[in-house]
Amino acid sequence: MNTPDIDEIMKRTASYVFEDGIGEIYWGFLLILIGLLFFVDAVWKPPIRSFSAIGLALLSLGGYRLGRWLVPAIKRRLTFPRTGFVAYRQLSGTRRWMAMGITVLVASVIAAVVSVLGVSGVGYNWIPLADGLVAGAFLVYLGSQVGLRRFQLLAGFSGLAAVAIFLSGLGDTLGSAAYFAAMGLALTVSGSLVLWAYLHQTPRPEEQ
Amino acid sequence: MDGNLRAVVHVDRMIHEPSRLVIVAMLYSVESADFLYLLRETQMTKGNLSSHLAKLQESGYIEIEKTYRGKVPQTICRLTKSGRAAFRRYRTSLKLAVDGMPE
Repeated sequence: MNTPDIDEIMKRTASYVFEDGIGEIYWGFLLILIGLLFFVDAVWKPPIRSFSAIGLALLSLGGYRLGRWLVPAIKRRLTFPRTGFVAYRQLSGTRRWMAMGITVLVASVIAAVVSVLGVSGVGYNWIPLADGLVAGAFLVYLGSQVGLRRFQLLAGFSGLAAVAIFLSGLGDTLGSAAYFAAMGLALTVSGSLVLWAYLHQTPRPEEQ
Repeated sequence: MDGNLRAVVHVDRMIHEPSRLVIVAMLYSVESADFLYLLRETQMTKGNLSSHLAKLQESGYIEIEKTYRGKVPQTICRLTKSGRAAFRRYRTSLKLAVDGMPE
């Protein structure tokens, strides 16, 4: 065996979680639901105050918890019998609390900035643009960490979709609906293609 | 001999062997992985992989847990604390040695 490239091996192992596209399909569906939520808010204008904010919080938290159960459950049936089982390291004790603290802090800062800009007359039309650029930056980072080029493509799509929606003048709520629906669809299509290729390339052991 | 280069002489040979280095590097990135995953990713034969895993287990670098997924036997491997520490030491000493080499 030739001298192995340790960094490449570690990157490849870290990217195994994305091998089957199941996570992308799930998160894609969730983003489509979020898009639908904003669409309902923009078109129906429900009488509940902060309808989309409350709905977004519920969908995000509920979706995260459901995803932590559902995605591994599907992997146990589809992925692990074909290409093996891998468990990833969880943040422990202090690190978990630090991560939660940082998340709450960042969310508070974003909420404060949005409120201040909204009140100061700048308005909220830039929100879909900011969503798309932040999501794009995150996907670029993720792609570089795990060495998967499709995340760079999804990042490019996220940025382009955000700019197009911003320039179309749809406004914040309908613009957010369009952005989340488009991004959700892109993730679902990307994940489905990956899953299709994965299932064709890796038959179950009893079929080999 | 330069101090950095001397580090190569004392490098951990249990990890330095290329096949075992691949196994340890994979297990370092995760909490645990099963035999099937390691088999596919390393592209070793079952016997070869079993032999390397046994050596790593004997040295205390990995733990092997035999369990079942439904009715299918499953062998789960994970690095021990000393295995993780040994891999970190290995990478540091190798990096020191490589950095100390003339252009």
